[in-house]
Amino acid sequence: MLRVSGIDTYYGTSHILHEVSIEVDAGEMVSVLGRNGAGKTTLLRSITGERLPRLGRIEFDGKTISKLASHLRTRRGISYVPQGRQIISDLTVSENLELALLGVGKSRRIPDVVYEYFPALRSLTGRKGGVLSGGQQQQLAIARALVQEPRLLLMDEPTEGLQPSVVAEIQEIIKRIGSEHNCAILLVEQRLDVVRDVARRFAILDTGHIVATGPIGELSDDVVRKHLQV
Amino acid sequence: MIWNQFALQILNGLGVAAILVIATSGLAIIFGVAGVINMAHGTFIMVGAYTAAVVNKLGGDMFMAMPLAFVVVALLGLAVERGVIRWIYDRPLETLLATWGVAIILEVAARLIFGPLGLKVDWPDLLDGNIKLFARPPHYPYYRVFHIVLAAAIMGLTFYLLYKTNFGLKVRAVRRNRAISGCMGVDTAKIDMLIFMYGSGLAGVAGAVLAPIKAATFDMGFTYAVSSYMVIVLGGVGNLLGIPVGAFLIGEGETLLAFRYNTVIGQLLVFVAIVIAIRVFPRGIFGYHERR
Repeated sequence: MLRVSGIDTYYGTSHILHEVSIEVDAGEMVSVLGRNGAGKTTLLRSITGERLPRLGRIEFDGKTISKLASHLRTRRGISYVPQGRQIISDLTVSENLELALLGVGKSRRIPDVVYEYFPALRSLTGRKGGVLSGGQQQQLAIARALVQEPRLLLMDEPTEGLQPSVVAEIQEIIKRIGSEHNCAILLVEQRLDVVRDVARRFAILDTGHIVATGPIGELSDDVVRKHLQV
Repeated sequence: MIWNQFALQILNGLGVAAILVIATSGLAIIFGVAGVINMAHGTFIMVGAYTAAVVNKLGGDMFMAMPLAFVVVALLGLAVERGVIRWIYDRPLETLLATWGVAIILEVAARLIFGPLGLKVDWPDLLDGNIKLFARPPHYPYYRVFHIVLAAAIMGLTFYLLYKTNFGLKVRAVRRNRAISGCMGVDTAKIDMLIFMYGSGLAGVAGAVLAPIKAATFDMGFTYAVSSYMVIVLGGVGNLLGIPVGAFLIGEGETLLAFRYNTVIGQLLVFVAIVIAIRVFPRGIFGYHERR
């Protein structure tokens, strides 16, 4: 479904990703790990189109999307839960969800599935996104992607900065989305317990290079010590 | 008698505020959404004024000129946005210099085409005369009432567009977070283009409406542009209310202080007040603050 082949991505003159390749099959959940500054977020931004790679190719459903604008990638079925949530702060919860619906050409009617996954959002519909707590914003960020009914969901550290009970909740939600919506997920995550629980395969980025990949069972403590410990 | 004079000055201040709203709204919308400080805003107003002058020469009146000025200047805005601005959106200094260059080109072109002298634009017959608010003169002119109604209509239309339509929802999202809006499926380049056209069109309407006050001249835009920047700085761009509130404070301040002292002292004191206000409200009165 998603095939990233040898991409090189830069921020100005800083060379962030070096010939990075990764694949995600339909309905599969793949996790990307790495130390801070390894290039995980840049990889997701390259896939969303926020940051265009200078070299290499990105294919989605067999078609090259390397030079496609962000909004066109979203309309093809790639949704994004960004790091730090990035809720549109002066839109209400409803408006954030409606915007996501409009973005993929749907009507503004918010589907019930949102409140099945996130019952807490029902009472917050009129609140501005910018005044929600971190956990509520994370729920909204995932709900926003969910209403677009994506075939590939990119999630960037969805448990970052959340209290343990909320982390467990988000963890379950990720598993549910993968299984109930037949949605492929590319998950950037720092928590090993979450990764081992939800992902089928992993890839480790180190200073912009893919240094290890494999089935999740191969994410041993030795691999973690070698590539992830500071 | 003194109370009549005072009430009239309040109403005159409202009239000045209305002109400021008309002149500022286009600039504020472009700055608020696209982040472009359009230094050509004053010359866009000038193009609207010349459009009204041409319509006037051909036998039409200001009411006919207003929609035409909107279309002409919106198309001019489209050309500037597609031809210049879209390549440099993320570079504020370059957009400032580029739009300044556009302003110089338009001003020189207007001078070459229409000459250095102003073109007179007649008031429509409908706006001749005064409303008799008091038993004795002075009375309140119809054209000031028209400015107030038009300013309210522009704010109402813009509010409806931004807060009651799908387009407005996308505009507000792009204003707050361009990259994420794109990732949510919003064509941000198209939103920028349309908002630039709308803001430019409003500048055109402003020119058509303001031309009968002093005549259309190639350098008329400068004064209105400076006033518009003052309104934006005072009101802030985080909220549409910043425009009328900023315009009201400046309009009433200038008029009442000019009534008490004189025009120069009135403008000077308002300017000092704005400098102090910036110290208290660095983002303007309605600047947006959020939880982080």
